[in-house]
Amino acid sequence: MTIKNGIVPAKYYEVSYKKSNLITNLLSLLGKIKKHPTALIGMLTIIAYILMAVFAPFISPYSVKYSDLSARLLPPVWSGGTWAHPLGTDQVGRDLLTQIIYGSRISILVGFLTVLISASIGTFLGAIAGYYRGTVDTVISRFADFLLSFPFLIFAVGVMAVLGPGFWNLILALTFKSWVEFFRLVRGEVLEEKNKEYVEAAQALGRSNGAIIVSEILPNIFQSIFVLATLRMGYMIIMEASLSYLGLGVPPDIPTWGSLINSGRNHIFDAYWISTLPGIALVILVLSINLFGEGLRDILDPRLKVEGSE
Amino acid sequence: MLEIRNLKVVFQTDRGVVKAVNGIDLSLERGKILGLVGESGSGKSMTLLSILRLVPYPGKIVEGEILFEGEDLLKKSASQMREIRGKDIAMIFQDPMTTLNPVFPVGEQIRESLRVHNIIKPEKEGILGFLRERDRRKKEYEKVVELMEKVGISYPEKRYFSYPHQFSGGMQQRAIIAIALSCNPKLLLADEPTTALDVTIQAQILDLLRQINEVNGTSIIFVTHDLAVAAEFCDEIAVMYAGQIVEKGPVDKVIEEPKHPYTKGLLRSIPKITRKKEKLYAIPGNVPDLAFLPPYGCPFYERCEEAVEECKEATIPLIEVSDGEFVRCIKYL
Amino acid sequence: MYKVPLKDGVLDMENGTFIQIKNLKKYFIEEPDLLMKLVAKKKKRVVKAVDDISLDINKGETLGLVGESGCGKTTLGRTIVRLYEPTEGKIIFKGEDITEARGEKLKEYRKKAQIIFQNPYSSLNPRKTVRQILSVPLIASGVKDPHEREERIMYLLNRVGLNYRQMDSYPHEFSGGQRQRIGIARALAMSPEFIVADEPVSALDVSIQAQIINLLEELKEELNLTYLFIAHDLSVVYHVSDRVAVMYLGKIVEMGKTEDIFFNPLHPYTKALLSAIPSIDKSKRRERIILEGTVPSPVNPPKGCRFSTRCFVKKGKMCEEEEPELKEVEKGHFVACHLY
Repeated sequence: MTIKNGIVPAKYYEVSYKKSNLITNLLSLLGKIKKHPTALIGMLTIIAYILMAVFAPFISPYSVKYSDLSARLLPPVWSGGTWAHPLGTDQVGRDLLTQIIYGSRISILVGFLTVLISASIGTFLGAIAGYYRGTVDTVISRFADFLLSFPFLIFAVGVMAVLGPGFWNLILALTFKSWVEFFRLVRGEVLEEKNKEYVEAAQALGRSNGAIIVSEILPNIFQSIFVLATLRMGYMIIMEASLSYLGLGVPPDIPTWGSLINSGRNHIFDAYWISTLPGIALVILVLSINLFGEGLRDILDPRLKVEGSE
Repeated sequence: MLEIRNLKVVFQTDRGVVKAVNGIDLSLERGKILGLVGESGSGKSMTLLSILRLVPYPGKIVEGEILFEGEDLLKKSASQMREIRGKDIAMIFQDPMTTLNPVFPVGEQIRESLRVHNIIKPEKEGILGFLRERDRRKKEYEKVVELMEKVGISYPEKRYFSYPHQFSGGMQQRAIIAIALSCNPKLLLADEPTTALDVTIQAQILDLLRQINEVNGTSIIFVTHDLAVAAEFCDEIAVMYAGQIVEKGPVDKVIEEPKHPYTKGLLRSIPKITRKKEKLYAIPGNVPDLAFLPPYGCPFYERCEEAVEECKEATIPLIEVSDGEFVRCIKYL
Repeated sequence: MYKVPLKDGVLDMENGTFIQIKNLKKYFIEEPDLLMKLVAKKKKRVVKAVDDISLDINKGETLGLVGESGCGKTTLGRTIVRLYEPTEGKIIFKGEDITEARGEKLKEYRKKAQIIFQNPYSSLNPRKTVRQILSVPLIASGVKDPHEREERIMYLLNRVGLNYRQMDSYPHEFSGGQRQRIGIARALAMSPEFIVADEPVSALDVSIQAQIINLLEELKEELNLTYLFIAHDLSVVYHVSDRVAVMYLGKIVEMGKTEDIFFNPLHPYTKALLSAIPSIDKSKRRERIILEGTVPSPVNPPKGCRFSTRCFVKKGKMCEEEEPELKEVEKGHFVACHLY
């Protein structure tokens, strides 16, 4: 090995050739999740629910509109019912298992869409506010503060009352306030990253501001956004259920857990299953999402810290 | 007054076992200044933290003895160590901004040190307890002002109430030295206290520390990566590499007649202000990854210009070359 | 094409110089928002980081820029490469005034003037591979073909002493010194003529510092570069620079050939600075000059000579009232002090 002028020839730095990209990153992330019990349980449960929602028509014993008035208020199988209706029926004879399976569709769809939209809006506004500062920042931030002063549910109720029931109205009501969380997160992180030298380096190379935000800064804060999104999803699902419970969600012919819980209100004592079982389904899903989200945060956070100097 | 024997500190990480400190022997006499010189990853900071048993998780002290005035610190209980920390042995760190708590006034933080170790004893309890408390506070305030003056903070009576961010870097470091000195420790551990400071402030702080050493007789262990600072400031130097001491001795001997190839390389790679400009010598390669140290052989082998085949396999102990001078190199066996 | 006759550091004004900085000022204005202004009556703060600096950089030289924290050297370096917009003054590059250049002209300038940063840990995007990091400047300088880009990246990595096979690794897989090499490769990718090196070795271990310094010097020889070398480590500056400028609180207090500055310092601040350098060689240690007080704030610099609050050889009232001008006292040796 000849050492010339203090520069060691390239061969000295032999490192195994590693191709890192999105796929390998995801795979390694999955590997880490496997080692983390709560995250793993959460993820598997969520996948089960998603499969249930997707394959609803195939796995539910009855069609969603089927109702047999002669089979009203039948108890679930462990309270004296039959396997024909394993989770019982409601007051118009609809099979509860079918209703719960189909109900998961709305919950998951609403949860996912709301988070997707509010995350996108929030990230966009947060990036602009954080990067450009100035009046833009002040205006958006004050507006966000203003929105924050309303309690979430009451605000959503108000919007739905004005717009009326409907799937997209529901989405609008829920996203109208939730983007603020993402806005604040992204703005804070952009503010911090903006001062780092790799951003200055990109500026010195002449990159446009837009390119810098998208290709330099965003990849670094993506993980935080993702963790927040997972955690908010549970919250959105609960909100949807609450609104449906109040009769302010989707139109009544689409089954949701919230409206099921509501419809079972009057039968709490004689037919507890109508309210309770959808409620349990809801709780399990939200719990799994939260476990997954927090587990993800645990896994990702320490690795977010770049191994710096000792 | 301080003797470290065969200290080993190990970190369990998912990359493997990292031997941060791999068998260190040091001794320090009363009133002397010992310099621990090395680059990042050499284990010098970890050695200091081990003395006060402040090694962060997942690190553990797995072997060795640390004898402070004859007693092994590694055998003491947690509460005994708390007594010693701050009172008999004090430590100052590199970044003053993060060492001081930003939400408390500086004077209060110095006073906290006095209070924790009950330097100013409370009077006997009594019905007028709260008056005695006020009295005690006043005495502590005066002592803090005295300390602040000693370390060279001007207008201490007013500055007592200032917050850390209102101090400059140099003054912050002086405040930290004041905290360290508050209980008149016998040993001061300094972990790169001047690295983050400008060169003129560094000079001031070094003077201050030298004063403390001469006037109070406080022994100091000074960790640094700057050989020039160590050369000017310390009585004895120990050069560390990959968790081991590779050369040790009186400062003049080590600087003027370095024996270990690493020490020689370091000295040659420092730019010097001389009339004749020469190309800088650079030690080739990189500092080794402490997770993958070979269990035998010299850790410096890969980068050593004087290496021979045997260096790869032999484990060399620290050899006494002459009175007080030690080297860990096969050439001196 | 741009020849600069350099006679003992004296600039030949007739034939022009490589970079001319004329009366450059960079002020940072902190404007509180409307609410604060009305309610808390907060006024705007002006930080005069660079306050009227004029200097010339000759082609092929390394100009060292030293000073302590807060003196404005980092700001000056960044302003010269237009990372910060100058508040006032002119930057003239190879005869062209690029102070207000925009669009194409600015792009052209950026190709020729690049910057290397201090912190090897935060100057590389942790989410990008080396390949991606180096592709950005290559694309910006017009290398459209991905194969050609790959070749150039391989060449660059090799040139800075890294294994090209590590192209697809992430920054955290490299050591500090290696990351700094990537930063250098990035600056070189644009094929610049002028590089501002902002404390390129301060965050590195001593044994790696020497490697990087040697690399920078080699590259300068090979690619005919001109450096503005900003550092606070005076020994390093001594080693690499042909000329040195000393800054204090936004102004240049002394400038000249390296030997002149280090062995014949004229300004009291320079003398104090040099006296504080710890030295291994006992015979070289100077009588330490201890400066009283601390550096004043650049928001409210003292009237007259800025160093007057801490000066130990003050001449009297003039120092506190009149600002001294940068004058050529000896050949190629400039000082801003009333003593001369």
